[in-house]
Amino acid sequence: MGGMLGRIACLAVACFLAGCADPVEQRTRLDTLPPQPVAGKGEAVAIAQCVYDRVLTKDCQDEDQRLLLTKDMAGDIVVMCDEHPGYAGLHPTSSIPTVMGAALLGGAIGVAAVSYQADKEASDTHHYPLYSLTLRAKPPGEVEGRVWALNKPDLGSKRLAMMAEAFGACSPAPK
Amino acid sequence: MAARQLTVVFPVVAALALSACAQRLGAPGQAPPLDTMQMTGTAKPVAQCTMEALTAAGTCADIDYKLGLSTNDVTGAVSLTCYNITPAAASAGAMFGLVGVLVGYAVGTEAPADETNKRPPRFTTVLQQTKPDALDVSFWVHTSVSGPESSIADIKTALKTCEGKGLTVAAPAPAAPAPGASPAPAAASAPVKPAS
Repeated sequence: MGGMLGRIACLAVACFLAGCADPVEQRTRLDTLPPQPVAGKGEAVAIAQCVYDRVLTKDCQDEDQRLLLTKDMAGDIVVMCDEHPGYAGLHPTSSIPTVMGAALLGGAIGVAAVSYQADKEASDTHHYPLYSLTLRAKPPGEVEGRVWALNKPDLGSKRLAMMAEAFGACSPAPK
Repeated sequence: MAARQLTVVFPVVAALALSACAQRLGAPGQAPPLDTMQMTGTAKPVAQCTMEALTAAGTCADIDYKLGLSTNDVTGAVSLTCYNITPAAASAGAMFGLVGVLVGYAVGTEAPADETNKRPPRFTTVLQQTKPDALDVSFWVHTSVSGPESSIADIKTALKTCEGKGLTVAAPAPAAPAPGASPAPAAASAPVKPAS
């Protein structure tokens, strides 16, 4: 019982110091929409570039979001909208209450804890994609892939449709 | 009187608004480039040479910023970026003045100047090979008080000194080759890549 209370108190302090929004936990809770397969003709890189150009000015425009054109570990080509606190830069203003709280609570130690947390967040090298299109080349000029999106209320299915539509418009890849 | 106050307040508000908007322009993946240009050369050597020229000119050479090169796996484009390497903790600590900054520098680590650094850069220049000897160069820069044009002009100046870098043969040959000229000796630098 005492241990439980201690854990709760510890969590409360941790939340107070660092903010409770854990991106990984949040993402797990949101779950993903069922991926949608796509197939078409053309060259994978050209299609990916075309989808990237189409989406760049349409969506993924928040401060902490970037549209990326990259490869995944399997070597497939990925166009994704990545969300990361680091993209928004080093603006501690969003956590003024947290920092103030930390200062009241523990002075220099509190500041150090918050600073450490800020450092950890900004230097997290993981990607946190919101939605993506994965492409793989099939031998005779064909491409197959899938679109995927995080199940954000309302937005998730719209993004899935947007990516599928962009793929359709870009394949066969324009010369 | 009010008009006089307004002339003082307005530039301050404008500057604040500008600095708030600045975030949107500094990196690929946020918006199309602010400016583009064409030049000759191959991406890697030109980027390397430009990085040296910018460093020599003192661009992106202050304590919190550092130049770095990275290559996109998919497009093969080479990016020359002015990365923000301030320890995040130092800027979080800035709210507490000098002591906070010092604590921040003590507990924080300098961010790397490579593609794992996700912070808004001061500027990014992307060099994409379009032909074996031609490059498309795109510019993204932060809006600053002096305007994006001035930072882009600085980068362009550095790029111009690197025109044609990485080519095996002297690029333009205006004069007809001398009759009976022996084939040019193989240059020591990297061979021109075949068009993909």
